[in-house]
Amino acid sequence: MVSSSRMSFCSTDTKTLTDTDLSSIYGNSVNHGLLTADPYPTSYRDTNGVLTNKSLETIVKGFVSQGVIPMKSDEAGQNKLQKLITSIKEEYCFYDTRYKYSLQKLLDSIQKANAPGGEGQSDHNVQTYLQYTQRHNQRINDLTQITNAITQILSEKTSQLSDALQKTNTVMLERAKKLEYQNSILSSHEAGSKLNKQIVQFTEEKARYTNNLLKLYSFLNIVALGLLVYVYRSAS
Amino acid sequence: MSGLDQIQIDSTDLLKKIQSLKNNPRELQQFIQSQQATIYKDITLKKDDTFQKVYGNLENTSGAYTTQLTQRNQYDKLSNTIDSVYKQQSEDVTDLENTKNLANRKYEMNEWTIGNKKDTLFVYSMIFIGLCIAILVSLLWRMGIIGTTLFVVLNAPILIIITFTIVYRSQYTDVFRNKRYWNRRIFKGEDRKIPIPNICPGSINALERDASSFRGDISTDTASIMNKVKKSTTQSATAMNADIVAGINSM
Repeated sequence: MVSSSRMSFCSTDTKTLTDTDLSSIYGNSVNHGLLTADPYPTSYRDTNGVLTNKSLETIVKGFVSQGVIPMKSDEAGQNKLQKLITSIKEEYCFYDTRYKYSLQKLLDSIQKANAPGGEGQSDHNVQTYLQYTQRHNQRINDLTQITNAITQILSEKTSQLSDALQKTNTVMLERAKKLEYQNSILSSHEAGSKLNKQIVQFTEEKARYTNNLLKLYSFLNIVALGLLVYVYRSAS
Repeated sequence: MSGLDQIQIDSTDLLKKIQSLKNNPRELQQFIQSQQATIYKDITLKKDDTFQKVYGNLENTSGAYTTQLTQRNQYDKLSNTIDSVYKQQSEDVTDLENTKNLANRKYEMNEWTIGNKKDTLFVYSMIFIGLCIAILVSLLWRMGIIGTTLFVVLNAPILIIITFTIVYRSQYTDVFRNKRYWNRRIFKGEDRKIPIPNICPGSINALERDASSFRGDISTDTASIMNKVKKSTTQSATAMNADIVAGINSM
């Protein structure tokens, strides 16, 4: 078994695997993987065995509607998205280690079958490991394509959010301008309102002054009238 | 090996190498193993690289998406704060406008009241002066300096003037004086009013309606005037004819 000189994306070692692990599926009753237990049907694929764009769209829309890909903007949604990203990596590593194991086994069995004195090795092993390698390769490819599709959806949502933010920013700028204008009105009217108050006070003072004069003249008129009556009576 | 990655192998060199090592099984075995290791390494590296790129894109995009979401939440909060400030400030501006309008109206009312009181003061002072003159004249009459006739002649005009002034002033204030502004008068006449443009919303339509109705009124008046002129002309012509005929018959 050869290990690459470069650090692998997945830290899981293939040495711990056995042949029984080749048929296992990622996930349990609590955490489900993105890929189904059965591979996607051939109607979803093109002639190269790769998932078509239409089928990817269907698969990813299904994930969104089921809530596997969270689209909510709250903290719970963001946490769920982080968990999804981590789970994608785990699922990839799960199938990647099995793929590497089955590939290694395939190459070993091919070598043994073709080695001198190796005619006893049947083609059955080669075919078995070949099937496992193909299956895991397909799963890895499907997972890569689905991850790419999820990235595209998130990218679209991000650009939509960016547009929405731009609009909100524009609205806020307009509101800020209106606030500035209202502030100018308020500050300019401060002096005016004081003046208005003082004008009203002045008119009230004038009215009180006039009231006093009225009272005075009323009194004087009453006195003069009384005096006139007195003079007229004393004359008669 | 369908479904596996295609690895480029120079098959001619490989065959030559295998041929040369056929006589040495151990070296051949080692060579095959090293080839196998190379194939394995190339395939797995390519797979890892591809998914690493895709996964890296996913992480970056989700990071950007999360950042945008956070930013949107912050913007929503900020927008709500600005909205509440705007609402409060709008109310303040409206209150200020209402206070200003109220102060203006109160000033107008006070001014009208003061004018009314000054007018009353004028009347009171006129009455006082009249009474003082009446007292003086009465004293003179009592002292016998002036006669009864002079007493009446001096007091009557004062009484008439005071009464006339009171009546005129009260009537003027009740009927002619503007109820809002003390210094303005209400003009009521038989003449047609000049249409004032309506500056309220829909004013253009209202202007057009007013202008067209004014035009209609003018044309109606012109037509009626013309009819009247025609009628009078016809009547005078008929009368003239009748006179001429009567003249002829009398001859």
